[in-house]
Amino acid sequence: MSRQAMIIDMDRCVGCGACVIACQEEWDLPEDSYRNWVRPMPPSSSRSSIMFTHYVGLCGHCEDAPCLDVCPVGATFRDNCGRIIVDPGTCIGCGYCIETCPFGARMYRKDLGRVEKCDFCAPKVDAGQQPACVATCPAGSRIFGDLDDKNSAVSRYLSTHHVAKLETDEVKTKPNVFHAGKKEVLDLIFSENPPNPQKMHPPIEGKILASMISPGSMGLIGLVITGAVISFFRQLLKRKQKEADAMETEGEELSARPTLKRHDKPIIALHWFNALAWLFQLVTGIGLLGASKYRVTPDLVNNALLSLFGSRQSMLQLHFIIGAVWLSVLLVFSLFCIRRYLVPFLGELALNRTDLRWLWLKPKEMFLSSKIELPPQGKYNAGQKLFGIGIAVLIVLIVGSGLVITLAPGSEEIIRWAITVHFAAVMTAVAFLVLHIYMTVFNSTERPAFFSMLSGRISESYARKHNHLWWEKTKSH
Amino acid sequence: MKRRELLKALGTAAIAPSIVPTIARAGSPGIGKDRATAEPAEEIPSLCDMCFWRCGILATVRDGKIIRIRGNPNHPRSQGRLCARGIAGRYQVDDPDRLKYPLLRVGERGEGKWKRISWDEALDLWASKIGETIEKHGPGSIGLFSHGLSSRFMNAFMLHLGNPNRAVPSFGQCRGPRDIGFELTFGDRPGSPERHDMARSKMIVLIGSHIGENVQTGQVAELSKAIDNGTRLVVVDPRMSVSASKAARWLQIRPGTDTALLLAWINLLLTEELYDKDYIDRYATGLEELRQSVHCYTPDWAAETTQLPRDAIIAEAREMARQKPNVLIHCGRSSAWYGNDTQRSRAMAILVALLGSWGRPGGYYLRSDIDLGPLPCPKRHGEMAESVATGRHAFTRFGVASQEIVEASIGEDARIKQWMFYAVNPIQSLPDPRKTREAMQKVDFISMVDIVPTEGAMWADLILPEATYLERHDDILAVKNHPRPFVALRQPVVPPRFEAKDPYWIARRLAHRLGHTDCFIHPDVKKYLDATLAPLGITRTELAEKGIHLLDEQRPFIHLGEEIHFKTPSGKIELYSEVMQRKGYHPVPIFEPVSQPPMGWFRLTTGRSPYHSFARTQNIERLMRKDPRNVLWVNEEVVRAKGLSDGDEVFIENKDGVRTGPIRILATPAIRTDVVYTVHGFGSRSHALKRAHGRGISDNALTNRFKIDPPTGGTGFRVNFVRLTTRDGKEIEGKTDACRVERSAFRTPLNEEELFPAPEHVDSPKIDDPLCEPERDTPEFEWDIKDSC
Repeated sequence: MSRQAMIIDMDRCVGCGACVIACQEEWDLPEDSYRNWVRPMPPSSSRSSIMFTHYVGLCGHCEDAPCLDVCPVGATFRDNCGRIIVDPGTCIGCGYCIETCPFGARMYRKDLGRVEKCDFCAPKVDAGQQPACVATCPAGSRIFGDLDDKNSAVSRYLSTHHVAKLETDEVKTKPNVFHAGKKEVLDLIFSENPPNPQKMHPPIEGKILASMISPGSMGLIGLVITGAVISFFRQLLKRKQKEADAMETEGEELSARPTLKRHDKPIIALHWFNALAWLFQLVTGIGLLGASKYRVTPDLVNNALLSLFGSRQSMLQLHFIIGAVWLSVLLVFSLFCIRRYLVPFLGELALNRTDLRWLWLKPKEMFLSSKIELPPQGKYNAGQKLFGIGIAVLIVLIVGSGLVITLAPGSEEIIRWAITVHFAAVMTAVAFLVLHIYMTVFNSTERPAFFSMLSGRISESYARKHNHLWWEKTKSH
Repeated sequence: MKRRELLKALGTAAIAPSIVPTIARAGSPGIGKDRATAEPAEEIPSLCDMCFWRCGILATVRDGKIIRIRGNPNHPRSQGRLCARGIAGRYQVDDPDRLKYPLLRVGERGEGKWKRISWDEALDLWASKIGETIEKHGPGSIGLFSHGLSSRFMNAFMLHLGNPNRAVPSFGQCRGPRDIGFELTFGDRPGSPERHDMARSKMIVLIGSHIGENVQTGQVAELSKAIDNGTRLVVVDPRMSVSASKAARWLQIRPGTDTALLLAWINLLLTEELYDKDYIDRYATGLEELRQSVHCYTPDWAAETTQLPRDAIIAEAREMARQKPNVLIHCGRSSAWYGNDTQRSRAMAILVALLGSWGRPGGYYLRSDIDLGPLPCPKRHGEMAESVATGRHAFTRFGVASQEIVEASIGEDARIKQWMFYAVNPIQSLPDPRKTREAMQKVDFISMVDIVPTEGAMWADLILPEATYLERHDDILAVKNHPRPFVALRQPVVPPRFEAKDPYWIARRLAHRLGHTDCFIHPDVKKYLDATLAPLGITRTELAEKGIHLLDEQRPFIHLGEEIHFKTPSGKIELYSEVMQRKGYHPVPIFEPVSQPPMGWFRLTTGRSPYHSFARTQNIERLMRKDPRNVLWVNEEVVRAKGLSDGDEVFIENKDGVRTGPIRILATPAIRTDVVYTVHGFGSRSHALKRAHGRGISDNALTNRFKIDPPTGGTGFRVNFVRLTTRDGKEIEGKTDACRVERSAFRTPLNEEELFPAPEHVDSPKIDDPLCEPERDTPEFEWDIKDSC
């Protein structure tokens, strides 16, 4: 462990900008990207005191760095040398950290779709060299080293010089970059370049995201799941009373009774592939929400996931890969089966007037009285249709936002909104899935539908009762 | 493996076709981090050429491309540090606008239209044109303008031909007057890099020098060390420069009166007997004549003339005396200011001598000697042709003054018929570009060797592409101006792109085509360099390894008491210069007032930006982004008087109606009301330089007037007066400070007497000599100073 720090001696500095060019050259930065800056402050009439100095700055690698908490994927971290690093493999370029830094020390790389910032030239320093800006500074005005090492250049400098931190009453982040020099010079530099307190508050899309991950919304999800479980037990009790009735629909008698073909093999395969992919994406997705601000699970779960996948970067990569594989399978399948599956499927999803009536009556039937006669349904009942439509919309949202995040189209704001949309869509999809799984696995009336997703067949009597219109259509063929 | 690479792989395999190209684009060609941790590429040592300081560089080369340049830690001056320009030097190689092939003019001169020709055609044409001109008008009818390490080749060849008409703008338009002033005093020039021992100085006086904005790596490093050491820094400048901002005292002098200040200091040191007596008695001559000559220049007179506080003038002189000999009167570099520049430089040198700081720690080093091999061309045995400057400017060095060639190319009896440029952009370096263009329309033939199509190149008939400094060998750099003398090598770190050639190759082929096969006898530059290095006992290959070869240490300082022979006619430091007397110049510097701007006008002064070297770096986007255009410093008082403010735009017009602009104003309290300041080198009008073109304004376009420094032929640039008008016709009026006798200096300590007490043995100087009638400044136009008060 060490604490690397830098001092900029403004008595020595002449503002020649060699540090800026050296940094750009060291890290191959394009013309409009900087990790550090030298802003001339010539003696102008608009200044409070008359001198010719410069505001020389870079990432402060602050002790209380606000950027550490806001990365949705945990790409920003403090390494064991006290440096704040952005892992380029994990960064998705959403720019929450840019929005948060009161010093403007981070910037968005349009060409790479990720965040750029000073890392104190970590690879160089770890190899025993000086950071590029320090090595080239003609005036020797940059002093770099480990604060915890008494013999380092910074410690030695600090023992004989007074230094100041660029902080205000509103912004106290304890930067590890200090400025030294005459008091009046530092006063002018600091007063004209104060850290921006506005930056400490996230933008609107961030607020939405944060509110979704807030305990309240998490509680709501918990409530939905609890409701489902309670309903399941109610069903269990009911089942005992209507065992005879239920016998009619039990799976074990399926073979004995006449059945109808409901699902083709490819559809079944696709369904379970889908289920697996979604489960995986859900797990990696939860694991990725690493920053304290966006964590949805207890640390224990998070750490377990992290150790399971090795690193956030591999988690992110897997998330992308599985997402891409899933999407391509879905697309290829749809593309090759437009006539056979896609068009009929979409046709069967269309809602009609009876569906609305069914939707009105079904909850009553489920929770109040099972005696209610439901209107006849097609291959999919209105609930399933609604579910299908909802999932289709959510898939579009999740895939769209996922692609935006992956491909980083050149604006961090778009990526940020994409994250919010992605998250909101996933949350909704999770709610849908809870209902879906509950209905098919735990709800006895719907259970044959679940088995049909395994065997592909369904008992004729069940179909006649639950999917009357489809039964009629199938029979007539 | 990175996420995007993975995706790329996946994308090509599976993802819908429309997404693939997007992903492929998003895939990055390796970020910096990878580069730094990968196997080290080859690091080749060489010398920077982004300015004249010539720092040591290490160029990292991979697959034939320079990927990074850093400072060479073995270089004694720059010690591994590089400035912004040096680091960005690799963009010169990849400049898409650079000269790629020999070009022959097809349009009108100045139009900038050429066609590509082969080197053979180009050299044949060049040689035949030169041959013709020499045959018809003699060797003296060719004017050569040259610059840089390898200008030695062309100059040696011209000398061999017997042509004295060679001009080096870095002399007459820059440091010539300074060099000559010191040479006449000490028999030696301050050299380049200057032999300043700043790190050991106890007091540094900068006169118009703005280190910091003017960045030379080693010099900035030493100034910073000095500041750390608590060295007292005094800056004399009408504008608050970066150095002035760091100074213990900023003397905001009236432009053109620096000599007055220096003479008053000299006078003070003499009248208060504060000079280094041992040193002067032993090594100098002419003290009595000096005393006689300067006794009129009292602090009161200087205060009135320079518009500086009298007490500040006295205090700093006493402080110098207290810190002597560890005082550095910095000689500056660009010294072609007002046409009285050699005398100002002489005054500086004399002040240096009185403080005993020439050859003393904290002052100036002595020069070391380095023996190199012979010139690439044998000396001519016959007579030289007649110089176009015969009888004028006794102390011009490296040929003749630039404007002499220009003048001799115009008119019925023009003696110069052909111009040759080697690494010189005449439009942005010589004064009065209108006249330069006029001359360029007159001469029979203009050839130009350069790396980019500068504004001057627009006028050339034949353009020859030279390899950039990262692609060529240059002549050996022998640094005698360092306690540890050394030689350094500029060598190609990558092969020349396109058809660019190294300067030796070009000069040799020209000479041989003209039949002078006794010149450039070595088949290539490498063999030549070996011969040049032979007296030092090393080879080029050995030098190439580290780029630097340190020579034996030579004693840089004088031990008081030892015999020293100065290379002056008398063998002593000449406070009084016999040779100047003989040549018709004042043997002891006197104050010659310079014209002051008339009411409403400003004096145009210029300086440097740390991101640019003259007009040479404006096509490099890396640097241009940091400093894309020059601004005009104007006093806030006069700006506000017209209801304007910081950031407004004005047009600049000079006395001859040349108008340029718009340029943004920097309204500041830190410049005098009769001076404007901007950075030199912007505003190129070469369409072929796509990034430099039209960005900022060209100060040089406004230098129609210049004042010649008689001893050297240097051209004082700071005699141009300009007025400022806005787009809607408002005029910002300059205010001459004639009425203000004293102007308070920045951060002046409150109690001068306490800080700098007068020595006990003398009273403050009082001169009751009725003959002392100090000369007044002469205004440009006839107007009564009193009227304006």
